Amino acid sequence: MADEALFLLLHNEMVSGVYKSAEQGEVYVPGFLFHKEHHDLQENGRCITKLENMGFRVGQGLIERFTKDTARFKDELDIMKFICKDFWTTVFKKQIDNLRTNHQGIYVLQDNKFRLLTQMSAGKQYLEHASKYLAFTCGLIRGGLSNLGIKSIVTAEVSSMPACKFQVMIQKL
Amino acid sequence: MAVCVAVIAKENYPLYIRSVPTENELKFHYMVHTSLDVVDEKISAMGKALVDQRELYLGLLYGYVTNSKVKFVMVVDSSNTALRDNEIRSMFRKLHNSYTDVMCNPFYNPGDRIQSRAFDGMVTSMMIQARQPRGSCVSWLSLGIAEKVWVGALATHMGCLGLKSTGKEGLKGPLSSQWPRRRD
Repeated sequence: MADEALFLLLHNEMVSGVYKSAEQGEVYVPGFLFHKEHHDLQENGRCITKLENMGFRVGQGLIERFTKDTARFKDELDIMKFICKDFWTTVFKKQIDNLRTNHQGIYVLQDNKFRLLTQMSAGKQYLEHASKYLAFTCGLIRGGLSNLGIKSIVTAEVSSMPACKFQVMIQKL
Repeated sequence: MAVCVAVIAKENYPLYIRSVPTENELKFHYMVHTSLDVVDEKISAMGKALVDQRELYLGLLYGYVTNSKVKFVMVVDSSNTALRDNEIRSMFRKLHNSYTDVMCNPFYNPGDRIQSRAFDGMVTSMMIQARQPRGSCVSWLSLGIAEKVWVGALATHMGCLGLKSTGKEGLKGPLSSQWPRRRD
């Protein structure tokens, strides 16, 4: 019962750790015009990339373990369904609530009660901080897909916590 | 009872290859390489859970493909008692488990050569142990699609069992030390 909370707490610490180390690494160069807004945005982007890359590597390893005993996947849609059902259940103890696709390589995964955001707020408060907490999961999906042979770009959007949508764009080579 | 074990990445270059030293080391490597074509054929046919395919040139060649398109190929000596299907499956299972452990190691970057000692130990336990130790070292270069240059050197001294050669491929002496470029 307690292991859900463990990952949640670890994830929160991870996010704040990445941002804190970015803050400490800031170099203030006197004499130059220091646009704090611009700098902050850059730092934010870097941290999100770091978190996403972490998620990517973890996703690769996780997928290897989870697909060890499953049957071979027939096609892309099959893989996405696996991600929505088995993968999500194993990591977040629930399934994706809604999967939509345009059959041309774009999939939207909708989770109405995303585990990592439920404790944060139940509406519009803290919306601007939500992206930090979704970066790791985006990387997780991307890493899992990449290990199964699918190159993709995963983004997330939140309109009202704790519901969120992950958009997966498959890249055809 | 394996004579040669290979782990091939999804871009068809080897992540790990190891065999019992005999006179014609490269013969194994060539066999493993040519078997990839057959494995690919099998994959593109309607998918089943595991690809278990047998080739009878010299000894038996067994293949296995994971969901992440990593292929395990094993060459088995046939002059010994015939191995049952179950034993082969269990050996592949062990390989897959060890490979998963390597994958989850944070210090391992996917796509690199596998250098884990635990993995080595597991493969050693699957290879033939024989009485006459004979040392030999093979250096072998491979250029896969990803243009990786990789030298595998065998450090373990293991004996070898004589293998019958049917000469189907007409292999005479060492091939040029490059895996031919794959067509895709």
